[in-house]
Amino acid sequence: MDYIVVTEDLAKNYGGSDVVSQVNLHVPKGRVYGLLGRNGAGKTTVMKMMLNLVKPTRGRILLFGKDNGTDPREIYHKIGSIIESPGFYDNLTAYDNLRLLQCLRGKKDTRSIIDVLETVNLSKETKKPFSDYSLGMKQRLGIAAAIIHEPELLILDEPINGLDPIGISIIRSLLIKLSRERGTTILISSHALNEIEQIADVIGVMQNGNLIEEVDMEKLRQRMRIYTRFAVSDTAKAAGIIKARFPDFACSVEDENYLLMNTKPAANSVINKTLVEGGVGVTEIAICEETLEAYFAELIGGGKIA
Amino acid sequence: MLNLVYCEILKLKNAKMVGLSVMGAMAVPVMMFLEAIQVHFEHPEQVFALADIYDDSLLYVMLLVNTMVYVAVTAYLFSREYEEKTLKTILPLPVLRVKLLFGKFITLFLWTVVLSVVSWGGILIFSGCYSVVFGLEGFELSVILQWLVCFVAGGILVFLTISPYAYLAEKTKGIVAPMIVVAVMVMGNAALCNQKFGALYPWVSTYLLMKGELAGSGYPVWLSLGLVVMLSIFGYAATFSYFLREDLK
Repeated sequence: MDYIVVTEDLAKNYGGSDVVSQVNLHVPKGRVYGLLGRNGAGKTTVMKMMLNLVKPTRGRILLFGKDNGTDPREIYHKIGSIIESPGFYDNLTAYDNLRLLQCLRGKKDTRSIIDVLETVNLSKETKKPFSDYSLGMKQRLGIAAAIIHEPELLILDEPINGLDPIGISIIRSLLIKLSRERGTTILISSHALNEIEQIADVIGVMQNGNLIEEVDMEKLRQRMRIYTRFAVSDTAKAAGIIKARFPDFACSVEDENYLLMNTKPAANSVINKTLVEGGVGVTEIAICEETLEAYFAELIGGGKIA
Repeated sequence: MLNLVYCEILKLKNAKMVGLSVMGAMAVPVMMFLEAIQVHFEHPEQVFALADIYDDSLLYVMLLVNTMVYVAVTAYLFSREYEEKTLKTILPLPVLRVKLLFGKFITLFLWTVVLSVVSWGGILIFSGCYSVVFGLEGFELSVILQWLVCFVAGGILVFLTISPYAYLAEKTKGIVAPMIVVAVMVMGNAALCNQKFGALYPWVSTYLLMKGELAGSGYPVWLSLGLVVMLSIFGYAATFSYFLREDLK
């Protein structure tokens, strides 16, 4: 498989302690790589090292097969990025900020600026300076700046922070379109696990500066459990009946009223009948799929991502 | 490189600092004009010469008011990328860090020279008004041009001595520390401008050079100029070294 980004034993040390250590990350060409981890896990530092904002203490980064320090001019033309909240010049409008960035890239084409502002729905804000923008508008301008030069690789750190649901939906569609139609490789980190779940092809999980898991989303989906949730009148009694009559089905109690079981959907009617005959009231049966959030929480040993 | 300077100038579009710096550069002409009017009404017999007004204003331009304005401009240029968090947008672009800094220093040079010309032009305009109403000696093209050259040269010399403030702005990532330091330095300028020892104080020795008093200070001219050059090189070296090695946390 072709990899656009590869890190080899990447490490960063601040004040004697490693904030990133021994990270070997592989971002396949043309795919969306979701980088997950709690705050302080080292995701942003890894991305900053890829963008030459922070120098690695050890290890190396290969972008497009080349060491990122060898030919920055050639490599960084192909990359678009957002790191945390986007930074622009307060006194300039969206158009002028983008014109400035294009100018620094040595490009004078203004059509692409107008097009990209339309894409992120900022084309009507012609006179408002950046300082007057809302958080969502700033984020959309950041995305515009990242994609204006049609990069082959997008490195996006929390790109949907501050966006409203419609804004998130627009950006999600845009990223999927870029990946599927243009073959843009995307490395994205986000706290919104459901968003990552919808767009990522590969997942990397970081914890305490280490990459503890790197897995294809398809394989992960196969691994994720499908289970049935029964809402019952008496969970203790129901659990006893299940253990006695269906010893092969794992069963656990959730809250006061729910029983979770690893069953095949076809078996649910039999279980339902058995429970009712045993004097347990069943008010709801739902087939559930384990979420990325549950997988993530299990992987890092409990706790949520925030 | 021209492209980078153009980009730096583009960054200043609608920036309040541009207007503020021009107002700062006009402070000396206004002060000189008000002083001339006051003296005229107290001593109507006294007749001013244009050259005297320019000569008196050189002290304020090179050592006091304009110095603070130039340092404010320097601190603004070199700290705004940190304050507005734009480095994480700019540094991943295919532009070398060293070229970004060169672009800033060239812009600073141009800005300093322009502000010196603004001060010169302001004095010219106010002196013209004064000349029309009260009369002024030596209001001649040769004098005007001679002092234009002097102000531009003075601006360039001041530019050489403000490079350490660029480092300070970068290091502290703000405008406050450079402004506090320049306030102290300006007090030093005021204290030493009439002292021979001022020849060894780079910010004053440039002024003494423009006044033609450096040779008379008793210290070797090469020593005074050497200190100015060393200070300037230190400022550039520290600014470049810090920026090239810095991790953007």
